Amino acid sequence: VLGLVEGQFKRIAEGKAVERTKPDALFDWAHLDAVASRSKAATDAVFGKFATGPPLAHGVSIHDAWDTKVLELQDVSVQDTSATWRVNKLLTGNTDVKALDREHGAIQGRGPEKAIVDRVRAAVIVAKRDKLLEIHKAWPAFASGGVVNIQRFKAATALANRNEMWKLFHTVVHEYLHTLEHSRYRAYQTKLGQQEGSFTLREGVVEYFTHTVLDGVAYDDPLRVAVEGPFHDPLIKHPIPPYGGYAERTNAEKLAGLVGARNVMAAFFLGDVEKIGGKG
Amino acid sequence: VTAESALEAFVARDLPRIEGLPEGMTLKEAATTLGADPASFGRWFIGEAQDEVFYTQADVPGYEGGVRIWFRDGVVLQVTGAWPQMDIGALAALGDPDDRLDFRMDTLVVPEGERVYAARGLAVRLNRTEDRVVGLSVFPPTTPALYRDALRPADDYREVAIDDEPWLGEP
Repeated sequence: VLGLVEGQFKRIAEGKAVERTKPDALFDWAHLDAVASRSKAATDAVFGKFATGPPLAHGVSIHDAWDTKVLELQDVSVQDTSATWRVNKLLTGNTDVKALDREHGAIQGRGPEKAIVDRVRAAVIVAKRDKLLEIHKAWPAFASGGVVNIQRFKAATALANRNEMWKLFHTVVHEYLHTLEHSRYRAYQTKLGQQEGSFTLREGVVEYFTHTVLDGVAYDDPLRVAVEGPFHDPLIKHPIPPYGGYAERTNAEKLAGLVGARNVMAAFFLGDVEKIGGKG
Repeated sequence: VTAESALEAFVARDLPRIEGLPEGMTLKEAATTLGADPASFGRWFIGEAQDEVFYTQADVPGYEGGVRIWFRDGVVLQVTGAWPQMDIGALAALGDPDDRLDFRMDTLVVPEGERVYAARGLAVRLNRTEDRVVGLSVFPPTTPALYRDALRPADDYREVAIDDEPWLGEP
């Protein structure tokens, strides 16, 4: 786990604090707003007949993730929980750790294993606290209280920057979809436990819809110019990075297979939760 | 209390002067006074029923984390400010709160950290060690139950997953 923290630090956080002090190190907000606008347009083209929402806009519904974290991490208690959060994410979500669990037949929440995992977690937090907090500050994107927070760091090359912009395009489709959730659907899914379907109805369904949108996008020249912005090169057809996202999408696809995709849409966008077996 | 005096007290972070917001304050009034752009707004959820609500944001000196105006149908439901610069000693003048509620700061849930003075239209959020005010909210005076059930914006926290995502590498 110590090695995983080091790897994550090198991958997303190393040198970022220094980067923030350099002029021209960050993507311009006008460009980011333009990308977000294209994400909304792509989503509305598919689901606009059900619902549309205000565009995500910087300073209101999109903020600089680094700035937000710096503010929150002023508080020592937030530092403590964030360091723990980062290690927990590795312990519960990392593929290498999952493979280790499988190899040993380990269930992390069970008595003997839990005692071991608790010791590992505490030791990692002590040894790597500073790096865990830098990783937390540099995490690529998060949403809190309805606001989407994204990192604005430019990469070293035009190629890498184009890639960043396409990842942003994908991320904003996902986040914009979250803002289109109907109140009645949200009230239903938030009352369910995480293992009783809440995670599937929240993240899985949004991921399912994200893929639906992205599968239909025509990556034509006007879109490439808008998304790639100053990094666009008309001589290069940049390969669009595949969208990954939450694996929970597979459970949402199973739901759609059982009740029908249109009924999942009616529940999510129109609040007709009875169509997926729910109660309002 | 008028719209102007209510927002003045909020901007000044002057707790004894805060008496909530007047009923029916318009978005236009609040946005003009606080310097927000009412045409730039987001959609979110509020209260137990997860009712639809909209918000716009303003940079207000004295609030490091900015100020959000929450509204529906052009009427302001509440105004919230994050990381107000103020002396925590000012809380003493308010007496005991009507209610204490859990709230979220990033990955941390602060148990009973939100002190609700519902009858005076004020809620104050303290950090876990109770040595810093991290949020102020003003709203039309109400009951503790109505504040809890109808006025609190949903405060969930989500992160993009990265560990298994191949697209983080170069194409």
